[in-house]
Amino acid sequence: MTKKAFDDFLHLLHGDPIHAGREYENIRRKLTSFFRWNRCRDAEHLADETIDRVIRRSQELKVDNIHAYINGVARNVFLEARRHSARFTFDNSIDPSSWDVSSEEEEEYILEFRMQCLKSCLESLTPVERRLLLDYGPLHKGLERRKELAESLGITVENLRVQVFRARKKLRALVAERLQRHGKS
Amino acid sequence: MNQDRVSDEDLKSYLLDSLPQPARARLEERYLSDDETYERLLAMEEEIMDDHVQGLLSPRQWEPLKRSLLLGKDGPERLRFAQTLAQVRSQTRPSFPRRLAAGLQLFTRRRALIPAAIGGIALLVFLAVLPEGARRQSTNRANDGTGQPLITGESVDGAPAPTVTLLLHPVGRDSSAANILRISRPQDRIRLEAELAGDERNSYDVTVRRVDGGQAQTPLDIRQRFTKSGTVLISAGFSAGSLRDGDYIFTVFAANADHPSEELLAYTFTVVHTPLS
Repeated sequence: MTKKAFDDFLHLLHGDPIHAGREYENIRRKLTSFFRWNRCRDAEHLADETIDRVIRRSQELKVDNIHAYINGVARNVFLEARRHSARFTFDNSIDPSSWDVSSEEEEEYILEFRMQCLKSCLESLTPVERRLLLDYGPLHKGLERRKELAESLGITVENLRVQVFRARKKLRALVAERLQRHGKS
Repeated sequence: MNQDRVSDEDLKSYLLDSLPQPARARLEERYLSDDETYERLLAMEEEIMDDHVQGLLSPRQWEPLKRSLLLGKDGPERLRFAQTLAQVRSQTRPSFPRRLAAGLQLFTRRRALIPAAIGGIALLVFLAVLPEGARRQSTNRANDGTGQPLITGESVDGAPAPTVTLLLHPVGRDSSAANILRISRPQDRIRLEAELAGDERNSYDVTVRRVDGGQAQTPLDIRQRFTKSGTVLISAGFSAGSLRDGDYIFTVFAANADHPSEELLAYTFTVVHTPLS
C-alpha cells in the first residue's frame, strides 16, 4: 500500500486530516468489535486486513458510500476466514472455562487493592458520574428505578445506559492508570 | 437503510448470539456506519457483564459473550472491573438525602397509589395481629388491585386449591422488603402480580426464570387489568409444583405484533416451601 493510497482513503473519510484520522481509528475499533462479536480469533488482524482491502480497492473504483463498502468487505473477510481457516475463528482450542473471573485465583490483597483503588478513583469523577455508576442497577430491580434516576439527572431512560457506559469508561481508565502505576494490573 | 432506533432487545440478542439473520446482518451494517448504535452496543455489553457477575445469567446465556470477550485483548480486565464495581456497588448504599429525595419524588409521582399503600398497611396490621395458625396460608402479601388481601379458594379437602397471590415490587439494595412467595401445598395455584405505568398496549408476555439459570417458565395464564389509578396490573398464574425453592426473576414484556418484544420490568422474588404441619 502506498502513502498516496492511504492519504486518499483518509480523504474519503473526511476532508479534514485530523477528523479523518479519528474516523480511521473509529472504523478500526468498530471492525475489531465486529470480528470479535462474530467470534473471530484474531479480530484486530482481520480489521486491518479489511481496511487494507478497502484502501486498495478504493484506488481502483469509485466508492460512493465508504461505510457500506467497508461493511461489504468486512463480511467477505469474515466469510473467507471462516471458510478457509478455522484457526481464525473460535475453534474451541481455547478453553473458555479456564478463564473466568469467578474462578480466578487472584490473591485476596490484590482484589482488595482493586476495590480500594476503584473507590478512590470514584472520587475523581463528577457527582453525576458517580451517581450514574453507583445507582444504575440491573433491570430486575425495576425499570421504575431507572426512570427515576434518569429523570433526576434530566436525561432520558434510553440515554441512561450510554451515560453510564461513558462514566464507566472514564473510571476504568483511571483505575487502569493507577493499577499500572502500582504494578498490579 | 432504516434509521429507526434499534431496540435494546435486539442489541442484547446480538451480543448473546440469539439474533437471527437477516436482522443480525442489518444490525452490523448499522453499527459500522452509525456511532450511536455502536456505543449502545458497547454499553449493553457492559450491562450484560454486570448481570453475569451478579449471577443473573445462565451459563448458556453467558457463553457467547464470554467467548467474544475472551477474544478481545482487554476482555479479562473489563470483566474484572465489572466484578470490582459490583462489589463496590453492593457496599455503597445511597446516601440519606438521596434516598429521601427519591422517596419524596416517588411519593409525589404515585399519589394515585395511596389507596393501595393503605391496603398494604392494613395487610401488615392483619399479619401482625392475627395468630400464626390463622394467617399461615396468607403470609404472601396479596392484593386484588383495591388494596384488600386476597386469598381465594378454601383449604377444605376436595375443594378447589387455594390461590396464593403475591404482588411484586422493586427490591431495594438493603433487601429489607424482599418478595417472598411462601408455598404451603404443591396443589396451590400461584398468582404473581406486578403493576406497570399505564400504557395503551393491549398485550403483555410474562416469563419466570430461576436466577441461577434454567429454562424460562411461561405462565398458565396472563390477565391484565387497568386499575382506578391508571396503572395496569399484570397477573400471571402458575402451579405451585412448578416453582422450587430459590430465587426467580419475573419479567414482563410488551407483546406487540408490530415491534420486537420489549422488556418492561423485571422483579426478583424468592420461593420458600413451608409445608403445613
